Amino acid sequence: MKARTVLIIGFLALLAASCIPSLFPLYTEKDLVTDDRLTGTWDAGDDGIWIIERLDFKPNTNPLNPDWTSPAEQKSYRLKVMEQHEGDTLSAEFVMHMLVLGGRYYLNYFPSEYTLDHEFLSWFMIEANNFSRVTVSQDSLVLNFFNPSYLRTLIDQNRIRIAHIRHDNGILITAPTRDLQKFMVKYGNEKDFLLSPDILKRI
Amino acid sequence: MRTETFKKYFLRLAGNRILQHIIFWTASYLFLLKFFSTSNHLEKIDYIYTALFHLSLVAAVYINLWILIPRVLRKGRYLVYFLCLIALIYLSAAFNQLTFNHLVDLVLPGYYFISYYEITDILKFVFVYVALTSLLKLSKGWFLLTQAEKQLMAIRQEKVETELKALKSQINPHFLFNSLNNIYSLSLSNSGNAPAAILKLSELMRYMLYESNVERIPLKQELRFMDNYIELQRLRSDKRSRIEYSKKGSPAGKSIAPLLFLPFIENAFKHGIKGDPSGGYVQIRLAILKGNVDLYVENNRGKVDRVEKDEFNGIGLSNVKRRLELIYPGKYELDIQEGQKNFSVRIKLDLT
Repeated sequence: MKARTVLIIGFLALLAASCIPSLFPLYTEKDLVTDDRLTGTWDAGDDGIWIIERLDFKPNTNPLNPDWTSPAEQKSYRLKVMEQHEGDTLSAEFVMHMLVLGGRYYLNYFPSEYTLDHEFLSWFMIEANNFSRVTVSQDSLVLNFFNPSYLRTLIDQNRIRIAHIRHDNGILITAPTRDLQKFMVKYGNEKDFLLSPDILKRI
Repeated sequence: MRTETFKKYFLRLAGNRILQHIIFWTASYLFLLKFFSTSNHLEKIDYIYTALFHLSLVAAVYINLWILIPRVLRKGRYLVYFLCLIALIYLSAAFNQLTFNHLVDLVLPGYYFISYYEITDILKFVFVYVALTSLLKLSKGWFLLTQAEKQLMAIRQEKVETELKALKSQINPHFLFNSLNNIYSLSLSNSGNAPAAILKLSELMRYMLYESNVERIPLKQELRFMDNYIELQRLRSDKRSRIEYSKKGSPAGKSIAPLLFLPFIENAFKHGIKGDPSGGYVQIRLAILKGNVDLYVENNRGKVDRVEKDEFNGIGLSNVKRRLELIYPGKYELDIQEGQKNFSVRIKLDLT
């Protein structure tokens, strides 16, 4: 097993803090779409630089059996996030998919390359999905991540019925893709569920 | 005592229809609550979800039980019922989805539910509930029908027994009057047979009053009664009268409805010997073979008999015919031959 270094800064920190990870992705094959305007280099401000490019193969997102040699798949993106940290450039890579549900566009993020400085620790890391709503234009990328504290409150107050497990660091959504999509379609436009948008500018 | 009280109390509770429904839905709620739970421990949201899920099930079940079954199925409109049932199941599943997709937001604002099951899954849920409750309803109906049939049978049986008792109560005075008439005849002629006749009558009356009040009596006992009766008739008959009485076969192990043959024998003596005391005859042949008993009675038609009206004769024969119908339906043959000079009756009974 290769050595990995934990990067909890910038976008990674954003993902870690502002999202509730999901064991299952938000998409199925039939929901995936592509948009050429997504590709390119984007300035995410404090969250660093985002480099998005199309993958020419289908990544296997099974965390137990990573396989990057699958046949070509035209609907996957590679997201590389680069951030400056104490003079060093740190990076992480994600497999990203764009999908449409109920007329709204979403991005599904799944970590593919990141480093953990403790090999034994890396064996216990759960790779999970995160999502955001997205609005793409020629020069900007508007991302709306979901409000984790609100979701956590709903779960704590027994006001939302979604399969999940609790762990020391928070909550892992275990609902199947079908349920995730239904929630997104029904409540994906509710203000309480969404954080204020992050706007990325094309470089 | 305490067990009996508890049993009575339990049966009363079990028979309470509202309680049955409450028990059914409570069991259903607890079962689905566990079935739907998304984690090891139940949350308040699971209780609410399970209750909401039941709305469509309850609606489907009671529309079927209270409207479709009594108004359509019970009237034999099976195709209409089948179509209505399909529509009901589909509408109920659609109502389930409507509940979680829209109604729940109006009823419980601030709560977040989705319809977790696809329409095909919900259709299966509703189908199972409707089918299960229909079967319970129909089996209960069948049970009640069986009970009603049993009650009806009991009432019929009681009616038959009452009728039989009434018929026997008509036979007994008939026999008594005839026997007293016979003894009266003996006493008029100062016959020395009168005391013996009274004794025989006493034995016969004992049999009729105390021993024949049962549904079946051993054939042997009934034949002894017949022997006594015929002997009684011999005592009072003219010496010139011909009385032939023969028996074949063993009565052991066989039983028969009491006093069934008496009216035929009684009538033979009354209308044969009495009708022509100087040259009358009575022929009685009884044969027992396997499970059957075959009685043949023949007598002459007396001169007096043709001119006298005898209302008791009509009652005796019609009574025995009615008794045969009630006690041995389809298991007897009765052949009555009425000639110019004689009268014969053949009765064959299947005693098995």
